[in-house]
Amino acid sequence: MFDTTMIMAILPEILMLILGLLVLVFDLIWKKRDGRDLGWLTAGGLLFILIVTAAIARPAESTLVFGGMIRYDMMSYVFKLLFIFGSMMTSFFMMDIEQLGKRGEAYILLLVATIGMSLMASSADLIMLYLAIETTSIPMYVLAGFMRDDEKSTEAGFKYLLFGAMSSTIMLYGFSLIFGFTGTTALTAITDFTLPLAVGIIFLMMVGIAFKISLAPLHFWAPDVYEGAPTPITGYLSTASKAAGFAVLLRLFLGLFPETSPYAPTWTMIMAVLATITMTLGNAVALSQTNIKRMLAYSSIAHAGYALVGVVSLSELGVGSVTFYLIAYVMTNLAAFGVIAAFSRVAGSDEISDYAGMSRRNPTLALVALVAFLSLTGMPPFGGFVAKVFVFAAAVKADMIWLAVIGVLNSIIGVYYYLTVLKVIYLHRMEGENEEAHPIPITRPYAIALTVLSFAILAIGIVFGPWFNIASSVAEGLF
Amino acid sequence: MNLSETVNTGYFFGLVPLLVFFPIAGMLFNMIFGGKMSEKAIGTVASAASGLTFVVAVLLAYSLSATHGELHQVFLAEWIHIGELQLDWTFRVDTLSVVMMLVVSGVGTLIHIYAIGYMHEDVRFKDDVRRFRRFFVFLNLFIAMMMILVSGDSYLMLFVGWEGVGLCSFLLIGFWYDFNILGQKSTENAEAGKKAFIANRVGDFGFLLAMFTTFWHFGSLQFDAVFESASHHPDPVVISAITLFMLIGVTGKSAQVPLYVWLPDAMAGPTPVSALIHAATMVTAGVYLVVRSAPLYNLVHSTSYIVAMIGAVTALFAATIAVGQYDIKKVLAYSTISQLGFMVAAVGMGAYVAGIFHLATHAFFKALLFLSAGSIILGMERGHHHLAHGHGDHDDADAHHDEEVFDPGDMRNMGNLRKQMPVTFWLYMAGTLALAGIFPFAGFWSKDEILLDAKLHAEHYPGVYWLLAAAAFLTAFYMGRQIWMVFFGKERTEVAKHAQESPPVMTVPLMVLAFLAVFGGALNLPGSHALTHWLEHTIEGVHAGEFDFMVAGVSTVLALIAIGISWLLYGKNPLKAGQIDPLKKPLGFVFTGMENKWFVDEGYGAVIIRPFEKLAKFLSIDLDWNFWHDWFHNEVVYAGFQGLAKFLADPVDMGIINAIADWLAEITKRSSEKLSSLQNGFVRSYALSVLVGVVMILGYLLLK
Amino acid sequence: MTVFIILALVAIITALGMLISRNAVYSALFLVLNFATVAVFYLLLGAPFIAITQVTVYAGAIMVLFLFVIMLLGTDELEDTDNLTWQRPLAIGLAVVLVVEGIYLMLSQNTLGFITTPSEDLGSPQAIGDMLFSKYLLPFEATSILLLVAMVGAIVLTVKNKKGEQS
Repeated sequence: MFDTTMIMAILPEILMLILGLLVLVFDLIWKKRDGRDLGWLTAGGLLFILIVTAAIARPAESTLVFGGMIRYDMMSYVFKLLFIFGSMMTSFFMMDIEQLGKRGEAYILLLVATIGMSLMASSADLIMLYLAIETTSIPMYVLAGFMRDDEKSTEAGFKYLLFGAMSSTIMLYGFSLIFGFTGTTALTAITDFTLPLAVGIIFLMMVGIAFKISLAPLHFWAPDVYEGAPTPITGYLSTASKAAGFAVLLRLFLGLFPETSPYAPTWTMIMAVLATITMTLGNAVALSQTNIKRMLAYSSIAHAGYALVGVVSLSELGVGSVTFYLIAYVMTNLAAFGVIAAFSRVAGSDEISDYAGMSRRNPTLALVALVAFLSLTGMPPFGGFVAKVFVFAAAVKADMIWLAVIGVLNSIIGVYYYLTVLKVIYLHRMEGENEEAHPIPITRPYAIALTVLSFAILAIGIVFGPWFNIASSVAEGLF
Repeated sequence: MNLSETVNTGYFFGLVPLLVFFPIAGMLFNMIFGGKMSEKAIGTVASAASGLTFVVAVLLAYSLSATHGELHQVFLAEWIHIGELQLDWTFRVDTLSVVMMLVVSGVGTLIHIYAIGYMHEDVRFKDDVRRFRRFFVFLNLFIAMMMILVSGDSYLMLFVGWEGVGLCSFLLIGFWYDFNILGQKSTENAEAGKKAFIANRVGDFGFLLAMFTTFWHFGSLQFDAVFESASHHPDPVVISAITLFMLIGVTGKSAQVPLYVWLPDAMAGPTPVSALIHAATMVTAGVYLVVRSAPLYNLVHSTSYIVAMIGAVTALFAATIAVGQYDIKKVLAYSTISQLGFMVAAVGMGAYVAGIFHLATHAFFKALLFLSAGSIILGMERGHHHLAHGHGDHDDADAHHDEEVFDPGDMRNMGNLRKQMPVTFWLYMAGTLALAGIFPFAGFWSKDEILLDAKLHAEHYPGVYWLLAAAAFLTAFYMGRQIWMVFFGKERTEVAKHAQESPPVMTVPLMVLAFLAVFGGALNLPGSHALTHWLEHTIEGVHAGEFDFMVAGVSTVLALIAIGISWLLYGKNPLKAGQIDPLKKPLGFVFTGMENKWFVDEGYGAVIIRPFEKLAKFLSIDLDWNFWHDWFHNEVVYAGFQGLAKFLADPVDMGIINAIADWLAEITKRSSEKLSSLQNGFVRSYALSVLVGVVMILGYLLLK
Repeated sequence: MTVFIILALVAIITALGMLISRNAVYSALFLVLNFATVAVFYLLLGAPFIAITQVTVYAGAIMVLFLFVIMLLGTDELEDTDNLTWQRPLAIGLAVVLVVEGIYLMLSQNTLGFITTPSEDLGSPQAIGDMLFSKYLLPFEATSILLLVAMVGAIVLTVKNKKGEQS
């Protein structure tokens, strides 16, 4: 009854579930321990899962398994590895935050969210998709509101919940309509949809996805939630969660609108316009922010816009470029939020002006910040540069040069606020100029995670060949 | 080719990536674990890494000789594959690159070992023991980069190594970045590092232009592909352009006129650095580049003449400056520039073997000389400290900071050091005799071969021979001057009387180098022509030269006369303390010019640097800051943008303040449980925006 | 058909009542009514199992929970603290536009002709059980994980630690 393909298809999820249960059990029975031990367990377990999945769970060809519920192909494989990696980094960052990392529940919430994301990336059925989205979102709601003493955190969690529930509702309505008209919930059913009403229904579905990737006009939750949630969670939200949304978007969008579809021009125009609004809005509002988490929130919104540029090109290069962009973006944003988490742990503030003199308080941390922020800007030799090149190249190849131009202009705006942060870190001095007396120590989990991420950003930027090949293989699997 | 093939064929070509990875491994090991290691351990790891590199080079040489010098290329990794641009990291093992590998790793390993002893004392004189590890990390990095340079199979890989060694040069020149050369707190050393980097940058720009032109015209950067295309379609204009641009790079890296100015300043770095980078290895990269590009240079006579001329002029020019220098390392620095001039002149004339031969022998004796100079400097420092602390009170621990500034490298403070430091004296003599080109030391054979080739090609390259001969004369002269001033006569200061000899960890590597300096000529003796035959496999058109007694005799006689004159001036009546140089009066303004390096740096300052700084100031302060930032940006763009951004942010911000205020009000009304009812006023506005968006998009879709 | 229209009206009115009502208990009760109406819809559609489940789970368990919470918290009446009053008419206007768009969308195409009829026993417990363990096995298991994590989340958010060190 069960064959190996089925097991391989959900191997990471099974392993993560076991890990999560282990964490819960150890939380109970392992009395004399530091809260961090669970963090090490989670991180180590995730590393193990990453290696095992990478080694043996690679799909030979695209197949539908579990009664058509999930699709076992390169896209799910690559994205799962990305999520597991992001989750591992996040658990490193979580470990030393009071109130967050000392409790075992945080880790299982993280793990289940990752399971949800993996299922999202591989869903081939509407019911599975909805469940996966909820499995991702609900733990994230809780994690966002985890710090109960912090009013901002509670507010963040609640807002995330409300907004998420609202967009889920709209999306579910769309799903129900599809089922009503086609009698099936398989995603392939939508792609065969010839009903003109399809346009409206598809739009409803997109609402849910647009929420997940914080696309305008469904981006409003992002700044408040990102600012209020504990920083490692924000890091995870802004990267893996968004990537999961993009995975779903890629599957749907490219399934729905192949070259031949008559709706393609309309839809690509809508998406292109939304991408433009998102990019511009994100960059414009980020300019006037003084809180670094909020600034990065708007920057993440803008980055969703950039990634979307690759999607609207509707080509293999487009999909490959989006995947590559997401990989680079996950590394970069995690690094950025990791720096912020490390800093605010010690300095207790998220205001940009409080970062003055950080280069003297901890030069290595400032260097990681430099790498991360320059990569966000899209500066070579970091991953962000290559990612942007490919995404804009896809747009140009699809004859949407205006979109690429807008993207470039937006990147230029972005340079300003990223460099402002770097300027404050490197060129400004603390009050009293005694940075020596206020060093910023980083603990070992941060050191490990930030080092790995920095190298990853550099590797993706310099030796981008293999990474792009992986991203392209995702594209081939989809077409 | 990979490791399994190595085992199968019995040759070691597959090991070539280790050339790069051994030093990198050494570097990483010291970086990660060095904090817990003793100085000896750090030094040993670094030297072992370098030593293993040498072993690999030897194995490669053996493999090559067993396969009759055939070219072997070992592919390591793909790098950039975009469209037609296919650039890989491939290693090239041919006779030329192996020669370079052997010289670099061999001399490099000896210098590593020497540096263990040198840096042990230097970090104590400068009072910063923790920097010891950093030095060896940089040294290993340098070896790795140099290996990439000489083993690359394309101009691109060569350039990667080129840039890498430039970086290491910067890091190591400015190693004592907070001091100056006399040990005081200063930014002078850092400035020297910057100068080196910038001067090299100018050269690199030329190299880049050459690479771009090459790629544009030939469609590839890989050596064989380029040379093939060039031989089939020799477009003289393009190839001249390429070779000229490359020449700019060569003048930067190999310190020729006009970009040599960084090398004397680079003496600010610790002496092992001067020996390794600025004498034996990095500076020879330019020569290597020209030899590697021999097929291109062979096609355009005009450019190769320019190359030869620049080399010859540099040789003479630098030699004149060396005559007027008082710092022991500066003399050697200008001597290096001069000898590099010899090499560049040689390869410019097409005498590639002679150039490489001199490269190798120069590496031996110049490294020997520099390291011995380092030994002398440390000896003087030891004497200085012995005087300051040994005789004086012991609680004057900080006394040496208040003491008069003492320059341990100034030859005017030395004298009769052969009494205090006999081993160093004999080592220095070996190096000097080799450099001066006295039979039968190594320098004699290599310099002679260059002079011979200059004479033979005199009709195609007029003037080169005379310039080189004059330079050779001056070389012997200034080295003689140095020997008499430093080792003979009477001590001119108290410190010289108390100078102490160096420990074996420093002198033993020097003895190895001395051996090579004495017997290195065996590499290419007129009878065996070993090196010529070896390089024949790689470089075309190379043939063994005949030994010409005339040329050899003339040069030997000149050298002896020069040494004789120097003895008359400096040896017979040894300089006393405070006495001015005996050449000053007879030569007058000429000597002033020599002393002051012909005011070249001042010239550059006035003509290039100061106008550049003025322009930069104008652009940054007047144009950018005052106009663009203060007025345009602040008033026009920023204010306008702020307005727009505020407009966009207001609904949001309004909502937050609203929500928080309301929420706090609620809190005071009831018991504060964590998840008390949350105000929804502001999420409402979000939902409204969503509704707006939905309605609009749906409307648009319907209308289509 | 008429039954449907009446029930639809009831559903909409109770939903609006829940939103507009100022008293938390009234809101909760309106919601119960709404759930009951939806349960009747399910019956009409021939899905008795879901109908009963709706009543049991939603109206029975969840709303009871809500009412307990409201009782424990002792919420007062909400005051009208709305200072974004311009949003309300805008929202109503947009909602009307949306409804119009929706109607236009439905009527402009022959949408009704496309609606498929499900099989006879779709709503029966046997059919549901069959599907849950064969085709929809993975979502079923995923749901169990989701429920576990929801419980964990609920506890995390509300529990007061006895030792008082972690909160």
